[in-house]
Amino acid sequence: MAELLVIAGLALVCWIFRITFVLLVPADRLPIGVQHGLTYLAPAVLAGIAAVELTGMVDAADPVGSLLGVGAMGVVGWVACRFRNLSLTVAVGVVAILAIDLLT
Amino acid sequence: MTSTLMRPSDATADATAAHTGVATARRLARHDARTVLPGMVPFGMLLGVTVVATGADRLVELVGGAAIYGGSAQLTAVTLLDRGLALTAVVLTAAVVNARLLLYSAALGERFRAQPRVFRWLAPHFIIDQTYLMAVGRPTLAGAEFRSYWRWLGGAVLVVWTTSIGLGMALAPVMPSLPHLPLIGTALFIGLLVPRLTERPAIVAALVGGTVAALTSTVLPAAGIIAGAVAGVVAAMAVSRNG
Repeated sequence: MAELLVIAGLALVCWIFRITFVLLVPADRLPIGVQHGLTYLAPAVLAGIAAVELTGMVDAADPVGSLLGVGAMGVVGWVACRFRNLSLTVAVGVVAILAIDLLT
Repeated sequence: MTSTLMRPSDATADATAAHTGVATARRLARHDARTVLPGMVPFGMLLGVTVVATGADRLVELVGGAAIYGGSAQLTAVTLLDRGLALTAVVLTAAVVNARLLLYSAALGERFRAQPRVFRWLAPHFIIDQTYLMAVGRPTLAGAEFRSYWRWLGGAVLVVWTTSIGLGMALAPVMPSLPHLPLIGTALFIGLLVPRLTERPAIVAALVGGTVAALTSTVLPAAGIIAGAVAGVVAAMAVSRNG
């Protein structure tokens, strides 16, 4: 029952977040500066997600695994810069992660 | 003087053009779904494996996968419930994890505004990292084309997302330990980030966003992404104003 309540509550909160600037406060009423700033939301949030994932992956009890994980993402970043091909970037990530987890 | 009456041939041409536009939007949605799905499947499987490992109710969590439609928030909720945190604290913490949905709602709000009422009430449910990122890359889609694009993209992602959670639950007993599995999703985000670093404000947004998110997450893990996103946007605004 507790689990169901959490899921229902969280689903409701997430839906309210999603409709806030669609139904409750029209996005065009936001200050022009904020509307312009939101055009840079994508790079900010992408870098934020990647940084949080990498920070969470660093484990003092497993320095080698942490280093390999960070190194793998370094390689992924290089591939993304060099080839600008998303499929190739993800494929390199999959191979690197599986290699780290299955071979070490 | 031009006539305001539409001839039958004009109406047919318009209908054909609209149909072609919707068909193109559907094709773009399928393309974009194929782009993001490889990075989502491992994360969905990880959530499924975690559900099994914590002994959470599988059916509730599977339905939750579709209802919450936000992997990081649900993963946080499952983990915190397992640690015995109070229900309100679990919901609030997981909500902070997903607070960036507010920013996505603000960024996409204009695209939904002129749509029919039912679409405005229900379709925002499909707003997640991946659908937001794909939609901002298709700025010309509007009206019926955007509706078609959004339904197909969101629907495909939802089906694959819930399927991968179920797959994770089913394979949990035989899965080897893969502690770095979430980094496959990170690879997707890095691949989406790099091509966007073409101008100074975007680079500043990424640098500030990444740094603030990392620092915040060491103190308050749930707030890392939203703190980084807000800081990155504010920094980009400052740079573009001064530049």
